[in-house]
Amino acid sequence: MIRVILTRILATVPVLLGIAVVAFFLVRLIPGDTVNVLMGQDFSDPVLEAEMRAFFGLDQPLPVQFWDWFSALLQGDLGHSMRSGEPVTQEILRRFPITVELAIAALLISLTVSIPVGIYTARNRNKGADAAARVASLIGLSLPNFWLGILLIYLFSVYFGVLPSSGHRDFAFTWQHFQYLILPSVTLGLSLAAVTMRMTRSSMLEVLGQDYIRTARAKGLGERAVVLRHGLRNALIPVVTVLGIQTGALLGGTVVIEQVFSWPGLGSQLVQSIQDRDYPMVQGLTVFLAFFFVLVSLIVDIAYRYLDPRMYRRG
Amino acid sequence: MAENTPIAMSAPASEPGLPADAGPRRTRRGLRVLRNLMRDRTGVVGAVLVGLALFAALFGPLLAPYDPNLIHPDARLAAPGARFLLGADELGRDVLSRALHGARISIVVGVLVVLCAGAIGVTVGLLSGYAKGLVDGVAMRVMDVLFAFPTLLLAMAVVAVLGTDMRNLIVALVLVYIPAFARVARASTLSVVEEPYIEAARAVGLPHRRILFRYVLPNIMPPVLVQATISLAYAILVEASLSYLGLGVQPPDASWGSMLATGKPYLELAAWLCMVPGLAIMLTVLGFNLLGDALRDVLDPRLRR
Amino acid sequence: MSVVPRALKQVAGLALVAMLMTACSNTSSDSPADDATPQRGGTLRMQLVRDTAGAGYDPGKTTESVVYTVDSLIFDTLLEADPNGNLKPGLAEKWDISSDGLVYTFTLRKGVKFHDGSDMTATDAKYTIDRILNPDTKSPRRNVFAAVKSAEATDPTTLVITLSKPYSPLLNVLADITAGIVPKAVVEAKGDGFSAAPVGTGPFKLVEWRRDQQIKLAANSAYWVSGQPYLNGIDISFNADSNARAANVRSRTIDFLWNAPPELYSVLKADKSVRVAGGSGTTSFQYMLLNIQKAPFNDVKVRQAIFTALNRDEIRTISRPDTTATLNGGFLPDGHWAALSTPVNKFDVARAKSLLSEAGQAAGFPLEILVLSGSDFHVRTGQAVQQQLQPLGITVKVTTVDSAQQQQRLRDGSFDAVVTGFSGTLDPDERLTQTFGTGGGTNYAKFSDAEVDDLIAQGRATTDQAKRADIYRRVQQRLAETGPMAFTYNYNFFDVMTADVHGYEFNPTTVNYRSLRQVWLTQ
Repeated sequence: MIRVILTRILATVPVLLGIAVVAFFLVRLIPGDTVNVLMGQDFSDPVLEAEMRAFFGLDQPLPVQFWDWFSALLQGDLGHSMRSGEPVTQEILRRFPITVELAIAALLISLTVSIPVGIYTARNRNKGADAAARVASLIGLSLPNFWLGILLIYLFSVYFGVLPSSGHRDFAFTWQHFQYLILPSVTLGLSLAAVTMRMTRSSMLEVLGQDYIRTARAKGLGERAVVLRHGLRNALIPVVTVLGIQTGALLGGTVVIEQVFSWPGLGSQLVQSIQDRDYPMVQGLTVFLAFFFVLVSLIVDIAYRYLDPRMYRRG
Repeated sequence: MAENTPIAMSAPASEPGLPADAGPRRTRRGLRVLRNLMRDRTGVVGAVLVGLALFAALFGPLLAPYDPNLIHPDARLAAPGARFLLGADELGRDVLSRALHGARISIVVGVLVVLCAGAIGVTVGLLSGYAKGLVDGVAMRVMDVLFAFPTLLLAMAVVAVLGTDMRNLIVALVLVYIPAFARVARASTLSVVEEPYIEAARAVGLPHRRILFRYVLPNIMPPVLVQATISLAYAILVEASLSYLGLGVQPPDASWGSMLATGKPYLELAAWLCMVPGLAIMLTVLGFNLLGDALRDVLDPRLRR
Repeated sequence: MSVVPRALKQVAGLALVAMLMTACSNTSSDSPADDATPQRGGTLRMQLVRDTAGAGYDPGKTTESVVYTVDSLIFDTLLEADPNGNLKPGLAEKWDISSDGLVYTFTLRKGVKFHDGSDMTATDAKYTIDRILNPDTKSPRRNVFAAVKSAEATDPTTLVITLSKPYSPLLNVLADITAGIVPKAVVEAKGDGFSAAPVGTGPFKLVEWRRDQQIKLAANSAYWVSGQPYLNGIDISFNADSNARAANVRSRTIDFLWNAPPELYSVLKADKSVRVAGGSGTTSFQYMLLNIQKAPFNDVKVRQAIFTALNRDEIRTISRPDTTATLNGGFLPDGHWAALSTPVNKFDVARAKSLLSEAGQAAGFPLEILVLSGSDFHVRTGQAVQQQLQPLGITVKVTTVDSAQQQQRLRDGSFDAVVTGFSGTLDPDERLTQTFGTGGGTNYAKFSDAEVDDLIAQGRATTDQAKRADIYRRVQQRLAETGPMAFTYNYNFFDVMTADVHGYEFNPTTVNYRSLRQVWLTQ
C-alpha cells in the first residue's frame, strides 16, 4: 500500500513539472503584457513602459526568464506578483481557504440532494417519480451557472429580500457569515448534484442487480437494510471517484460563480491574473491547483482501495 | 467556466462470456438496443428533444424569418409579436432567427467537440490500456497534465493565440475533453482485456489490431457513449460560460450561450432575450442527458430484462 | 459650503464656466430629505467593479478609475473642482499668477494634518510635484507636468511653482487627484510600500486593504473641513457582474453602487427604492480610431467617407440610449465651454460613396474593428458600425480582445480600427496634447498635423477662457475633418444609492468621489 502511494507521488512530480512548463509558455503566447494593463488606455509613455518592462525582467530572452522562474520553483519559490508585488504564495494561501469553504459547502449540498434522489430513482426505475426527479435534477445541470446564480439572486435577494445577494465574510459559525455562503453554494451544489445523482442512480442500478444483493434479499433482510447496508456501500465507489474529480474542479474552476457572487476565491484570481498578464501569478496558481488536483485524485484512489474489498485483496 | 469536467465512471459493461463480434450479430444487437430504448419513456423524450435540436441545427437557418445579424434600429428590445415572433434583442435583431442560427453554432460546437475529443481520447485510452507498461505510463501522465490544467487558461490561450472564432473554440474544448475520454476508455480497456475471450484471441495469435478493434473497442463503447452525452451537454454549457467571459463566438454571430450572456442585463426589461436561448439550452441538455441515461440503462447487460 | 473666494477672481483663466453653472446644474443630487440635518455615524457600503489597483493607491501613479475613486477619498489636492468644473480652494487657500503666466504662488491652509498626525506644509506640496517629475518615480503624469521648471517651498505655507513656458491648464492639472498631496517624510520612509499603505490629508484614511476583496476606510477625525466627514467609514467591495451589482443595491446588500451598468439605467431609474445620481456632465467620449499609418486609412478622403457614412444618432440609440449625448463635431459635449456644436460630418451615404470613389476605393475594403470584451456598449457600437459601413462595400469584422491585447495592439499600431472610449480630463488641453498632439502619449494613430499642434500650443499659452474656447473649437473642427477618429457620443457614469444615503453630489469633472465626505446615512 505505502509503496503504491509513494509510486503515485513520485509519478506526480513529472506531471507538475510538465504543467509548470506548459503554463509558463502558454501564458506568454497570449498577446499583451502586464505593462500594457498597468498603464491602461488613458496614459501612455513609451520610455516609462520600457523601464517597467526592464523592472519585471520582461526584456530578458525567454529562456532566461524561464530559467529564473523554474530554478526558483524547484526551491519552492513561486515568485512575486507583477501586479501587487506581493509573494505569489502568500496571495494564493490567502484565497485558498475561501475557495475551500465554498467547495465544501457546495459538495455537502450536492451530496444531500444527489445521494437520496439517486437511490430513490434507482429503486423506482422507470416509474413516474423516477422520471420527474431526474428531469428536475437535470434542470439544475442544464442551466448555465451564471444564469442560475442570477435567478437565485433575483428571487431571494431582490424579491424576497431574505439573503444578501453577494459578498463574503470571514469564516465564523454565525448567521452573519453563513447567509453569504448560501446562494453561491446552492448554485454550485445544484449543478454538481445532477452529475452525482446520475452516477449514484447508475451504480445503484448496477449493484442492485448483483448476486449478493439477491442473496441478501433471499436471507430475508429488510429492503431498507439491503439497499442501505449492502447496496449503497458498494454503489458509493464510483460516486466517490466522481466526487474526487469534482473537488479538483471546484478548487480551480468556480470562476463564474465567484464573479457573480463577489466570492474572492482562486478561480476569479486566475481569470484576473490571466487578464492582467501577471505571469508569476498565473504560473503559480496553475501549479498550485494542479498539485491539489493530483493530490485529491490520489486520496480518492486510496479511498477506492479501501472501499472496494476485491481491489483491497489484490492491492 | 466549465465548472467541472465530468467523467462517466461506470464500470465497463463487459459482456461475460460472449465476444461482441460478427456483423449480423451486431445489427441484431443494435436493433435490440433501439427497441429497449423505445420502451424507456424518458429515453424517448430525450431522443425527441435531441432530434429537435439536431433538426434546428441542420435546417434552422432555412426557417429563420430574418437575417439574424440585421439590426433594426427602430425595434430595440421590441416585445414578441407579429413582426418578431420571439421579440427583438438590444440591437433590434430578431431573436427567433438568432436562436435558429445559434442552434447550429451551439450544437455543432457540442457535436464536433465530442466527436474529435472522443476519437482522440478513446484511441489514446484504448492503446494505453491495451499496451500497459511504459506506453500507458507516459500517455496517462500526458493526460494528467491536460486534465489538471485549468480549462479556462487553456481556452483563453488557445483562443488568444489562434483568434476568437468557432474553429478555435472547438480546438480549445477538444483539448479539454480528450483526457476524460482517455480515462474512461482506458479504465474499461483494462478490465476488458482481462476477459477470457481476449485471452483466447491472444492465444490463437490474432493480430493486435484485430483484437483491439473487433473485440475490445465494441465492448468499451457503453461507458464511452455515456461520457459522450454528458460531454456534449457540458460543451454547450461551457460555450455559454466562455461567452459570458467574452471568449465565445464573435459578434455579431449568435450562439445560445452568447445570446444568454448579452441578454442578461435586460432580464427585467426584455425577459425574452434570455428565456429563448435559456430554454433552448435547457431542453437540449436535458434531451442529451435523458438519452444518455437511457442508453446507459439499455446497454447494461445486467438490466436487460 | 463657503465657495467662490476672492482668490478665484484673481485668476483670469478661471473666469471659467459661468455658463456651465446652468448647463450642469441638474447633475447635483436632489432628494428633499437632503435638506435635513446631517446625522453622524454609520458605515457606507460601497461597491465597485474590480479592484484594478496595481501596487496600490499612490496618487502620482494613478492610471485608472478605481484608484482615482479611492484616492479622491484619501488625498486632497491644492485646488478642488466643483461639479461644474469651477476651481475652488482645497489645501491651497488662495493662489496668484504672475502677469507673464510663469510663476504660480499658492498660500496653503494652516493646521491641516496628515493621517499620521504630522502637519501638511509647503515642503510636502513641493515634494509631491518633484516626485512626479522625478523619472525614478515612474509616474504616468510626468509629461502633464513637463512645463514645470521648479517647485519651491519659500515658507511652510507658501508654494511657488515656476514654469518654463506659459501653461494655462496647470491649475486644472493640480486639481486632479493624481496631484494629491503626499507626506514627504512618510513616502521617503516607506518607499515602494507607500502605495499599499497610503497616508494623505483626505476625509477618510485607509484602514485595511484586502486585494480584490475589501477596502476599509475610516473617517479622518482631524479633517480640515469642520464637522466632516459625517460617516464613520466606508467599506468598499467589488463585483464584476452587472446584474448582481444592481441587485446588490436594490436588495440593500450595499448602500452605494459606483458606476452602475448603463444597460440597467431605466430599470434602476424606475425603482423607487433607490436613487440615481449623475448620468450627464462628463467629458468621457466614445470614438472609433482609424489607423492612419495604414492604407487605405492614410488617405484623408477614405477617413472622411467613413466619418460621413456613420449615423451617430442611430449608433448612440442602439449602443447606449441612456446617459449619453451624440457627438458630431468635437469630442466635447454640448454645454461644455469649449464645445463645437455645429455638426461637421453630417450623415450622408451618397456623399460618403463619392468620397470613397474619389479616393479610388469605390470597391470597398475589409476593416477589422477591435473592441474590448466586457465593454458591452463598445461591442454594440462595433456592430452598428459594421452595418452602417456595408453600403460603402466596407466589410467589417468585429473582434473582441481583452485589455492587455487591446493596449498592446494600440501601441504596436497593429490594428485597422478600434472602438473604445476616453475618460474626461478636467482641462481639454490634456486630452488634446496627449491624444492628438504630435508625439502625444495616447496618440495611438501617430496623428501629426502642424495646424493642430500650433492651435494646441496657442491654447496652452492663452489664459483668457473665451479665447481658449475659440481655439479649441478650431482644433476640434480640424480634427473632425482630417483627424484619425470619429467621435460617436459622450457617455456618463452614474451612481445608485439606497434611500438612506443623503448629501451625495455627483462630480462629473473627472472620476472624483470626494463629495462622500458630506454624505450621511439615515441612522
